[in-house]
Amino acid sequence: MLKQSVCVDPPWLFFDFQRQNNALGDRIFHRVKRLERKNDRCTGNWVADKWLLRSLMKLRSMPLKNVTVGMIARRLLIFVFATLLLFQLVDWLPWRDGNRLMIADLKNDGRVTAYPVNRKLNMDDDTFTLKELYTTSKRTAIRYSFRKKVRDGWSFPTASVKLLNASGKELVQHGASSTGVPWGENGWIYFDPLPAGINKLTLRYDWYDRQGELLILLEKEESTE
Amino acid sequence: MKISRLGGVLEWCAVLILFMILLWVSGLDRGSFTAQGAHELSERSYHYGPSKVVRKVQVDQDTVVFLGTYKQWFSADTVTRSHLKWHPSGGVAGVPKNPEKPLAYSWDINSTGSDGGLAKFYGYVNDPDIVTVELDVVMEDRSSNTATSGSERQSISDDHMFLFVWKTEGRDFRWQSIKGLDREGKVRYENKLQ
Repeated sequence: MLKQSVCVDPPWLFFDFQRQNNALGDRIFHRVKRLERKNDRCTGNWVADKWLLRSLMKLRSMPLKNVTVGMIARRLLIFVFATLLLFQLVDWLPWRDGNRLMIADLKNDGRVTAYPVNRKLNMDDDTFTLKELYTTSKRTAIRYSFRKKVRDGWSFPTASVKLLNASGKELVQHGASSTGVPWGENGWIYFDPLPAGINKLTLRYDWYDRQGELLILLEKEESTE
Repeated sequence: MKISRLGGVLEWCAVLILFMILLWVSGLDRGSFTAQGAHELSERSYHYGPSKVVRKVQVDQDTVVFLGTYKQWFSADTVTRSHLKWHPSGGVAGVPKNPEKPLAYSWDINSTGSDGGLAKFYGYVNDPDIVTVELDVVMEDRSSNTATSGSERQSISDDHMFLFVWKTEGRDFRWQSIKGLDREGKVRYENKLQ
C-alpha cells in the first residue's frame, strides 16, 4: 500500500495566538517557530507537543486582552490635552485676535487711515514692534506687539511710550489695551488726534533711565473707510 | 509584541510633551519658587532696576516687601506667595528721591482678597538731621463703621528708608500727615495729606 504523503499544516497554525498580547502568547509563538524549523510539513511527522496543545487551549479560554489599562489611560490623556491645546490655538488664529473689533471701533470715528510701520525698538531684553499707526479725526492709535525674553511678571508698561509730533510736542496718551500670548503680548495704545498736515512722528520710549526713539514717516498710505 | 511596547512608550512620551506644552501655554508655570526670584522678575518685567535691596521686610509667611534704591529712585516692591510660588504684588515702581526735599514718600494700598492686601506708606529721607518719621493715619473699618486714628513712629537708620505696613483687613486707610523729626523731636518737615 502506497503511503500517501500529504502536506498538512499542524493544527496550531490555524489558531491566531498572536492576537493575545501577553507572555503566554509570546512563549507559544516562540515554541511554534522552533517546531517549524525542526519539522517539515510534507513529511507529516509533526511531533505532538503536549505543552503546546495545552497552552493553546489555555490561551483560547483567556479573554481577549489586547487593550490594557495603560493604553486607555494614555490615549485618553492625549485626547484631552490635544483638545485643550486646540482651544488655545484657535484663540491665536489671525482672524480671531480681536484686531478687527479694534479697527471697527476706530471706524466709528469716521475715516480711518492706516500706515504700516513694522519697526522695532529694544527695551532691555524685550522687543517692542510698532506694527501700524492708525489715524482718525478723533484719535491716533498704534498697534504693537511685544516680545518678552522672560514671559512672566508685569505686562508692558504702556505709559512708557510717547508720541511726539515734528516740533516735539507730545500727543497725550488716552488709554491702552493688550492681550497676553505665551511669548509676550499684543496691544493698542491711543493718543490725541494728529494735527493736520503732519507727516513725521517720533515714538519715544522714556522710562526711568531707559530711552529709545523711532522716527515714523507717514508717507506710505493705505486708506481704509 | 516588542513593536506594540515601543508604541506604548512613544505614546507616553507624547502625553508628557503635550502636558508640558499645555503648561507653558496656560501660564501655570509662572512665578518663582523664591521671594527674591519674584522680586527680580517684577523689576525686570517693569523695565526698572535692578535695584539694590536695602532692607527685606517679612510682613508674614507669605508676604515680603523689598525696600530698594536704584539711581535717583526708591521703591517698596511687594511679593506674595500663593500655591507654593511667589508672584509680584505691587509697589515695584520707582519713586524719585527728590534730594531738594527733606524726605520723599509714596503709598500703595492693595485691598484685594478676603485676607486682604497690604497698606504701605514708605519713603526715603534726604535730610541727615531727620532721625524719626511720624505718620498719622485714620483707619476706617467698613464693617463696623468705626474709625481709629493712630500715630506711628519709625527711626531712620543707615538705609535712609522707612516703611509703615499694615494688613488692610477690610479697613480703609486715610493718611493724615507725615512728619520728619530731628534728634530733639523738632519737626523739620511736615506734609498734611488730608
